[in-house]
Amino acid sequence: MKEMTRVITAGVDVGAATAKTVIVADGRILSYAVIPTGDSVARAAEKVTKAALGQAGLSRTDLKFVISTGYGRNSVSFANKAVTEIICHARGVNFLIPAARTVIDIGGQDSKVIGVREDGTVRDFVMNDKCAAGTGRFLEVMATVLGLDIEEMGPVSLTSREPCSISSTCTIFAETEMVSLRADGRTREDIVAGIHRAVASRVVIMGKTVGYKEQVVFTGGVAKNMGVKSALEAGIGLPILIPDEPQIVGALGAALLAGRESR
Amino acid sequence: MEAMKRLSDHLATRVTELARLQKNGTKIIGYAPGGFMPEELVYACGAVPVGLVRGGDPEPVAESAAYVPRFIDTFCRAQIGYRMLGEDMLYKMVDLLVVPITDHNVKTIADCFNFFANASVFRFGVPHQKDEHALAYYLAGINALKEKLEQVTGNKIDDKKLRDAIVTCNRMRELLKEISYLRLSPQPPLSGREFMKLNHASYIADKRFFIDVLESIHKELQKKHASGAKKPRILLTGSTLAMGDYKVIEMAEEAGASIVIEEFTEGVRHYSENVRLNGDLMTALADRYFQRRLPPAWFRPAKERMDGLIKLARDFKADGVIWYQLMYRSSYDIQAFYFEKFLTRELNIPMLKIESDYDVSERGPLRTRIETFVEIIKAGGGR
Amino acid sequence: MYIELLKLCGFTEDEFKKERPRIDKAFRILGINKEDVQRGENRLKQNLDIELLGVRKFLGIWMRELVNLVLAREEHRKIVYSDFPMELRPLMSMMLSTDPGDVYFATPGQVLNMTMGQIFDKLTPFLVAGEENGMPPGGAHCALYQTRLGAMVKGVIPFPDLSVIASYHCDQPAEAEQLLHEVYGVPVAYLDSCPDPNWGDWPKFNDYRVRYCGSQARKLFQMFEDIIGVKMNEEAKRTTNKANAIFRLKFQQLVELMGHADPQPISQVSLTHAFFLNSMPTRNIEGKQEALEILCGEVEERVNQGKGVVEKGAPGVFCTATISVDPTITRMIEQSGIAIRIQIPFWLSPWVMARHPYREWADMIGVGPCLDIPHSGEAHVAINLANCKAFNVDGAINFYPYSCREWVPTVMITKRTIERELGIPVLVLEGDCYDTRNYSAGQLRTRVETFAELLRATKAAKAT
Repeated sequence: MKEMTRVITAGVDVGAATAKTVIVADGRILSYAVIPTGDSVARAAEKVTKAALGQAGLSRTDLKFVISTGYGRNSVSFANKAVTEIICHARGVNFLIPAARTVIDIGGQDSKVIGVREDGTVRDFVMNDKCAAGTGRFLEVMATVLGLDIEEMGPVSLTSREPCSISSTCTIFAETEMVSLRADGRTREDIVAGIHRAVASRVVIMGKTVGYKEQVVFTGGVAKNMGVKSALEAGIGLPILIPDEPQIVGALGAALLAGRESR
Repeated sequence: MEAMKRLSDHLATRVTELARLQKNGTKIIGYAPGGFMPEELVYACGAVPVGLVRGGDPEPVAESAAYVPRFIDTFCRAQIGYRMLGEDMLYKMVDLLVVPITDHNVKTIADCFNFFANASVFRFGVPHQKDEHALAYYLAGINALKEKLEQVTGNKIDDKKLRDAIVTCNRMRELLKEISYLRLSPQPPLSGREFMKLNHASYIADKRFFIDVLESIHKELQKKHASGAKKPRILLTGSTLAMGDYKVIEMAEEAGASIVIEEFTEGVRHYSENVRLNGDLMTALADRYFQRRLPPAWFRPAKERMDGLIKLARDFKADGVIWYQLMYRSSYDIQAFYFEKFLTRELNIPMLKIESDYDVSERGPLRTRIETFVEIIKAGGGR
Repeated sequence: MYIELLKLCGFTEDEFKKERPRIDKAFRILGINKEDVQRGENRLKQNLDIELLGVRKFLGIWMRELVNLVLAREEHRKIVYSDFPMELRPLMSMMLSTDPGDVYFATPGQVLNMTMGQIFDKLTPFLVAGEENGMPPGGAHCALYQTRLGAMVKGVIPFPDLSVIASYHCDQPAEAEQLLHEVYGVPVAYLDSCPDPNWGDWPKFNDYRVRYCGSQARKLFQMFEDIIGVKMNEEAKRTTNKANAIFRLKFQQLVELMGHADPQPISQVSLTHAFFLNSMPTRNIEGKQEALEILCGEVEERVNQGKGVVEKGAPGVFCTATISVDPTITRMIEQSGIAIRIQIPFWLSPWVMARHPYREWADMIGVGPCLDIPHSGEAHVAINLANCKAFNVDGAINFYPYSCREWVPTVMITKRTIERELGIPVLVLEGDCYDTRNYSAGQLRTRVETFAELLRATKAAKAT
């Protein structure tokens, strides 16, 4: 009987790297799942939603409304509506951290800075989806060159006492710059710290047109990297909060918006 | 050279000295380079002119992205960056920024200083061709500048003060030219790098001190004996050769070439002509700064500049030309295309076109191109 | 092969029969094949309000201009080109008004954009040719000038006997035409001025700028008379100004009708044809006044019926650049549920309207531009702000053509000013008005959809 009275909605966020689904009922998170997207957006959406539903003991017919978001949002056949990830991120962060007024989102392929209002709507935004510098991709490329796992990058950067200055604005050229720093005998942690500063710097400058207001929240795949968090804080001069599961913020926002739609 | 050391020391403390002067009531008048700003007017009202010509660093260029999209000339974006980063005292301290409006890239500097820095900016226009009406327009502009300077400083500019200032500036230009033109010799007694440092210093140093330094240096250099093997002689040309942007000159000279003359706003265009002291002084200024000045790329007809460049290349017996293009300065970019055809036709010497956005990562690729070019010349290629 | 296409461009059977030989010839020179024609038909149906007779008539005018342009050398004694800025149009019109008919005037860039671009999506060969012949890629060169040069170099359109250009509006045209002069020997006449007003001056201006502009216009006319071999006269100048003013004022009416209507009655794309005829010389453009009257009538009818291309109550925006070549971007904005109330520079702001519409040419050349965007960044921002206010918009889309050094300087300044003064959100979009290769509707979609959502939410919040 309970299932019939509560309104259950889902948000499906299909990014280039990972697909996430969050199930929400009456403003509470029931379950969520995260899987790699692989080469089929449609299949990933199905699979991750099935996983999330399974965890909550539900099936697709229990869902009142589904909103899809992210890069693959228009390929989710069972979604009732597609909404951009910026709108969803703002909504999701607002739910987790109501005092949030600025969201910095750095994903594998793009980065965004979003000005959020008290009610979770978007005031202003800016995004970079053309250039790898200032995205997770930049970090991945550098990690490969240095022979590090991507998860090691953040911790290594924090051990540096004298970060290098890496000023190339292009990922390809930064790679070259880094190689020559190695040849000059700079330590690995100093170079890694320099890379983190470079990523942060790109994003910080981009976001100036939106402006940074507390609380500032960091989301996206790169939010797990404490080195980037630290570099961002230094760049904007404000403390940064990170939600417990930064990756699902978009899907969560989509599920919450779906809740509104279904009324 | 002892004089160079003196100059270095002077420059190291110059900004502090300017701040002190400012505190005691002297106005510091900054100007955007382009070559159309008559410094004489600033001296004549008791103020100190400083050319804001820094460049070559990537950080200010990156910083400017918060204020203007990237598709504006690199040097102009750098100026905005220096101001907004707030680390360069000189950019922040000026009581007035004078921007002679030449093309839209330079206009961007003025717009951004006005809006984002809330700075005091004074603009006047530079027409793009040289008929009598254009000269009249330029003259009206510098008269408006004169009024503005009088207003800002509270001092009237009279003929005597203006004449004195002109004589001083003429002397400086004369010395710079004499030193620079020592490189007409088959074995230049100073390198392009050394000369450019001197030339850049002229935008900031105290004029009388600087003239003294130049006189010493000139004497020294004249005594120097020609020595060493003959090196490939290169004419370096472009829009802006900023103070701090020495990478191209250094790379070329490290590769074994000699930069014998620089044709930029901060190059030969800065000192090749003097003000003629006959008749009305404002008209004389307009005549030197507008009419007789070696034209930049956005002047029409382009032939005047083309001919000027060819003549320079001939006079200095250049073996090759390096065209140093800053990103998005479109008038220069287009001119590079057809200028190369002229050069080949008239002098049959090779030209290398290189681009920069003041990015650190360019160094490797630039060095490769420059070294290759110098090798080609050494091997007698291009002819 | 292309009768269907031409029908979509308002051609009647008779007209088609009569004009066919010339059209055949022109299409052959342009290399237009069956595939292109099919694509053209599809694009017209998808992107324009093609059911409106007024729209079809305007398309026909542009199609005929394309044919005229391609065949100009064999059909005329002399050819004169210009393009942007709009200030040149009155000069051009005055020049051509004196001529008995054997001189052909055109704005070739616009003609190619509206036809080979907007209809056939086949500008790339010209762009590539332009890149190879003086304006290489990577330097953010204006695609309008790459197209012009490329088309001339490929021999598709003739080299002119005189090119008329403004050397203050932006940096590109003057240097591109210098190249034309130095390499191909084409005489070029420059209207020179300086974009030097001080911040805080506007809308006042220096009278010595007016005098200078006037002197340059006189030089231009002299060069025209010498090279083209016709004499200009005052009466002809006045008549042409009057005709232009009548068209322009009617267009202003249409723009205001569109801007205050809810729902948005037709796509903004359907206005581009009428608008860009402003930069074209007026004589010999038969039917343009008639087409405008028809279009106005049809739009009025739609407004009365409450018919529209965007839903009623949708948030309305001011859009800062008019994209002619790629109509899919404007369509995408409208399809996201954003009504474009007004585009720059369709609307004549009060400072320009305050002048007598049939004003003397010297005054117009000197003063008009002084009050206009190219001269002053401050003016540019103020005019953008005025457009927002006049049409009471909910937001603004600051679309900037990345390669336009005239537009780019004030992008962030405009955004901040509008946000601060009007408290409405502003979306900045980077794109290209003329070259579709680097920017597409797909790439901009996420930003536009987010903005649409943002606007809807803001509007809903205001209503409660």
